[in-house]
Amino acid sequence: RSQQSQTQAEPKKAAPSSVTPPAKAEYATSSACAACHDELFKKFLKNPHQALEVLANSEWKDRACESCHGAGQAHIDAGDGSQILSFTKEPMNDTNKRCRSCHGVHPQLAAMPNSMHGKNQLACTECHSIHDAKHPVHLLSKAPTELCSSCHTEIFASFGKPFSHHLREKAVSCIDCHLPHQGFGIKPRITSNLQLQHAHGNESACLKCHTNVRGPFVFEHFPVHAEGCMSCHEPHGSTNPKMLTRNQVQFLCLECHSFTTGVTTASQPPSFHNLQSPRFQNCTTCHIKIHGSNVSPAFLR
Amino acid sequence: AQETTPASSPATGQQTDDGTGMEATGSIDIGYRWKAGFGGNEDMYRSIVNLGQGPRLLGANFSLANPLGKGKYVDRLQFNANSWGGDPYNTARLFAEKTGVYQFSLDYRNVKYFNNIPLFANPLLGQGIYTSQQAFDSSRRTMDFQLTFLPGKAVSPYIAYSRDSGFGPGVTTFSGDGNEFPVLNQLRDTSDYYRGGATLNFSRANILLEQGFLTFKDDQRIYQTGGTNPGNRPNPLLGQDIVLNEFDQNYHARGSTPVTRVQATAIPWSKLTMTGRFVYSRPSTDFNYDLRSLGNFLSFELFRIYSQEWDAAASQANRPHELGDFQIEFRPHDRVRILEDITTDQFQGTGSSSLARSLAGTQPLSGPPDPNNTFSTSSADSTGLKFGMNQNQLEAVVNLTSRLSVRGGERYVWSDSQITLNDELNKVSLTRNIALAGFSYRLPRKASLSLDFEAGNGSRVYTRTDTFDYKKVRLRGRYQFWDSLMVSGSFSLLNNQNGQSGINNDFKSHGYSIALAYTPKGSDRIVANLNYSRSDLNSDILYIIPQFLTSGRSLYVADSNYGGGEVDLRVVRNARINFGGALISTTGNLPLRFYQPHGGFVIPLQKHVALIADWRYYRYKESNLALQNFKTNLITGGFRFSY
Repeated sequence: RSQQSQTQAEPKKAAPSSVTPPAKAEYATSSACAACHDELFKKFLKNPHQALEVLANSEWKDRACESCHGAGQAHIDAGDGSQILSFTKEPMNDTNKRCRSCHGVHPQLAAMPNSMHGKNQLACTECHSIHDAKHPVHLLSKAPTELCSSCHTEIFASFGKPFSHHLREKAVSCIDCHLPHQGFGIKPRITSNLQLQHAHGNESACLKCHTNVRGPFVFEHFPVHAEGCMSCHEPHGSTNPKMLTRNQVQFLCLECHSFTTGVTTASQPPSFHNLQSPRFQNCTTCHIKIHGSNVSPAFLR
Repeated sequence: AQETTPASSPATGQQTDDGTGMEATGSIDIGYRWKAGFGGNEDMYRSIVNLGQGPRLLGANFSLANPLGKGKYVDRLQFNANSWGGDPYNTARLFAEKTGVYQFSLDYRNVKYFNNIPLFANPLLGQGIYTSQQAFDSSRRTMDFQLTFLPGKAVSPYIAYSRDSGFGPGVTTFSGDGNEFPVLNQLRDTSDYYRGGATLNFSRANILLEQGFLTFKDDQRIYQTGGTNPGNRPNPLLGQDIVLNEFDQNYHARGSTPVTRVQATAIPWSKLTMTGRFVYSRPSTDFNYDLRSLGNFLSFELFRIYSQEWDAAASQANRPHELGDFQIEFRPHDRVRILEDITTDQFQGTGSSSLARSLAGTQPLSGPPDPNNTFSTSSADSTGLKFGMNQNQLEAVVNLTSRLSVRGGERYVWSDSQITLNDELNKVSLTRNIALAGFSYRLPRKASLSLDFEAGNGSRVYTRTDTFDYKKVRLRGRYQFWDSLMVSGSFSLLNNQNGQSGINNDFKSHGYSIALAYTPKGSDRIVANLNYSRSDLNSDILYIIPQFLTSGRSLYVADSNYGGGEVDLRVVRNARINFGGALISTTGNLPLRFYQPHGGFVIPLQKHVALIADWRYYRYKESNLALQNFKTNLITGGFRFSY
């Protein structure tokens, strides 16, 4: 193998752990890598990182492999697969350091360490496949939904419930609502960091599609803003119609609209309807503009 | 060490500059779907599954890639489309890129929403009427397009456009005093969002400047053209049959907002990464409303009956909204990361509305007729809503070893809200302290285990169902037994209690899941995935029963079991069969079962053509409600053309 190399590097020198390029003499060029890793190299040339290899002004022109794996001459000389940086065995920190050396200031990636994925030490390569991406956009190792569901199995199960967003039918995907890297997404209101996207710059991710409930309204339903859509809806899937958190609308409403003045903000005067009558068991039969109204303080029209 | 002699890559030797190195791959699936053996409620089926019968373009994928990076107009292009030709979920996506020159993306979806649940919002069920009074058969179309010039270059401008529209008929309710009338509903709303900006890329910083403008309109017509609509009241009220004969209500909202966005990321020092953002918008809505009705109506306020009503309303609302956040990752040591996150989210809404109401044909409920049989009134309301949420989160992550990290920190939230209706002011502030902790153990490509823990407590809540004194745990792990078999599992818990007087909210949810993935390396003979999830949800909260003014308990229980799996098997001559499915079984307030088994095959007929077939069975069964059940088979046959 070393005969295929056109370099004369120092023998058996380990690849540096820093992302800074070592002395040029240790490089073997991509052609030498391709002599053994031909298939990988061909695939690599079809993905966006090829810019490193082919652009005339690239610092790594003709040696893009070594931009990530470190200088390769020692690896070629060793001939036993050693002396090269292999990301399959790297700790997450070192892998991510490599990726972030180029992508660190990307607006969506810079905040990755603050995300739940970052805090839980996910390596970039757990989702992205640099050589053999099955999903070419963003070099994902699988299609986004398939990729997310391989870890978030319980969430994927929710989409099997009868009333759900049609993720399984490919009408939506996880990244329509979520930001895997966090980036400039919605911050947790009270619990958890759901890494949600913003719609239209600073609005709830749900309003990206459900624009008819955006408002502003003269008469706003306060929980929509204070607690968000999830105070009444289960966004992944539910056994209840309209993905509500309760199977009877009356309880969904009455749990807040009860006699608790002074304890909460949203405790408006409760209903005096006879809930034993089917006419009043679905509050939204009459309170049809429950997300907000421009005419009726009680959301009747 | 000697200077490396540059060598041409293997591919370089074959390259041509005229773009002939472009490689195209793709496939297209076309077929026909039959719906067979249907039983049960069709509206329920359409509300949940809604797949129909007929010819279909089941899916199409197309990609172009130039292995040399020398495409004349495009280096990479991907197009895919799913479910066209009558299915309710039509999607198409296009991505094209010329390295360093442009990036283009287009996403189009047309999703049909049908919703008519017989028992939902149906006061007339007892009379044998199986139509919900909150039903619709609408479509929602979204389109997103973005074109970025000079991606990755020092200055990279871009333009983008998004359109979202919804339209379709439905049924809704017009409420009057003493009766409600199901009437027809015609919806149409449209939103257009135009954006343009530029990204400034520096070696250690990135700045994005964007200006957008959004317009939206929402038109709704609710109407009834003749006939006598008895509404939901089966019996006369105060001796009167309250009925609707004609009705026409029109609702027109027009709005717009500028959206200004500035965001920046910087790595001023190798140990420090900073990101920040500020977004400002000022949405406003102008609204007009008119109503005309004929019938026999009752006014509790006047204690009269009347036969005609005209309403006209005009209103205006705006809601300026500022969002800002700032995040820091400070790495004082190779093993230590300090994460700081500050967010502020503020909006201030104001609104005003005026309503004029005219009644004709009014008569006292009792006594002699009144010659003055018209009545007019007008009212005006002004509203205000201010809401601000701020939070500061500080966490430290320590890598104890290259595989094990632990973290801990705190999130502090302080929020103010103010609701004004005319001169009545309701003002509330709250604070929350949330402790954060966790650990993560990762053995690359072999095993991982992570734990996230939160415990929060605050001064008060905004709504009764909000979390107050809570603990949240999530444990997630996976283990690669050998190259081909991976087992993963997770456990989650949310336990919230709020013992404040007048609330007494007790909420618990658990979730468990386990999954097996069998994916042999180097062989595609069999691929299998199995998973099982269980979730238990229990909510217990007191409320006041309105008609008796006594205390009741709202108990909500939903215990869900989900089992699912997929097996894909190569049989002979690259023919493949697949089978699997999902089963949901839920007990609690709404016990139900939802079976979705399926199976199919792909048989290559020649190099570029394969025979495809798919069978799916849907069985939905609510244990206590035979009316809301359905079952059906969907059988699809067709061909896959690939190149």
